Amino acid sequence: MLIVRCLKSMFKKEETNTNFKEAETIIGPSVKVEGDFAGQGNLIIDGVVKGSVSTDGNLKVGEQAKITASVKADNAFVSGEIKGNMIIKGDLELTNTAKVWGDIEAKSICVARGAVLNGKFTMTGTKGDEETKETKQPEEVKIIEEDAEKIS
Amino acid sequence: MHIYIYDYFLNQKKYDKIVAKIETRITDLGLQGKNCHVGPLKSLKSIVTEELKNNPTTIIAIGDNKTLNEVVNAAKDSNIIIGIIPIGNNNSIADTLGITDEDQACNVLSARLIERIDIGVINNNYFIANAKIATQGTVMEINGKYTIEPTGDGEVEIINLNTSTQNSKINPNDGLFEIFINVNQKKLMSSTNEQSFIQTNRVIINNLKHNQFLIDNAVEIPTPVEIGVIKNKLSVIVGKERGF
Repeated sequence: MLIVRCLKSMFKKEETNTNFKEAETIIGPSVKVEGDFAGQGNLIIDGVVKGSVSTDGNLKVGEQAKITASVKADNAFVSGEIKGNMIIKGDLELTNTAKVWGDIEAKSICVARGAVLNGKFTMTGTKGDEETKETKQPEEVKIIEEDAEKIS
Repeated sequence: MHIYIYDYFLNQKKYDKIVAKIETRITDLGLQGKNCHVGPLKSLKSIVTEELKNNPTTIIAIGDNKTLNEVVNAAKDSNIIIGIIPIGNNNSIADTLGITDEDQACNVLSARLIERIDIGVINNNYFIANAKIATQGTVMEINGKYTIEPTGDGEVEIINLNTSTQNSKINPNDGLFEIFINVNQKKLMSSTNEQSFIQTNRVIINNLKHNQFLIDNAVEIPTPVEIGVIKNKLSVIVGKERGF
């Protein structure tokens, strides 16, 4: 049974890495990028980035990475530091070495024990979220109208 | 008609046998054309410019990477088909095009398999394979949007046609070139090779230490440079075992 579990976990690891094997852009640890970095396809960052980062594909932020930028990506796997807001269309995974200072929007999130997250997290694309927003707004308006009647 | 351009270094006596062998083989295959030898009073550029007026079908560079680069640059205003017969040590481009030696090159010319590939442009000079510069003091501005600065000692390589066995996914027909930054980080007991890889079609590169670019392992270009790419510009005769 143990062998089977090990084999399963090995194959799982391969699956998670396959997206990044086909990375079209790699910013290594010994490279500093400044400006609006827009990529198409998968992106791996291990270096220093200042400005903004956006990609249509997946983003992997390595342990040595230091990003001071707003980040947009399809899915993201973060092990390094990010100072800036993040908008992720799909899934966001923060590993135990991840440090994020900024607001995050994502469809789903997975935070490992030890990760640092300082900011507001908004879960996008959920039906309940939209309904609560729609119902809350008219109530607030009613209260204001009642108050206005009392004052008059 | 074929124009065969023999580079200047082939005038050395040690190449006499190889040149004679090539000429015989070309005649045997029925590919004979005009033989032009570069000499002290006749530059490669002037030969190509002169011969292009006669509307030849193919220009064949006989020599190494430098010869091929000079032929491509001399013929950049025309769309002529270019072939190569490699002689000497610096022939990485011919190897990538599937041409390993002079014997096989003659057979490749006979088979006449033509491939169109992108060509890199660096300050109005063409390069076929790559352009290299040291990382020290090098700053790259990509598409006018962001800058990249390597923080260690190593090499920046702009690759159009991949002549090494690594990075097999580099495509010379995609209208893009690849920037490959290789930095060697020395630590107390060991050293690590850190790599970065970016695809683009335009970059401006300056080197604050006035290092020069080396294009196609042959020609030096001073910085700053603007590098672009022209899609499918070069028609070249290739072998079946080409690396793309």
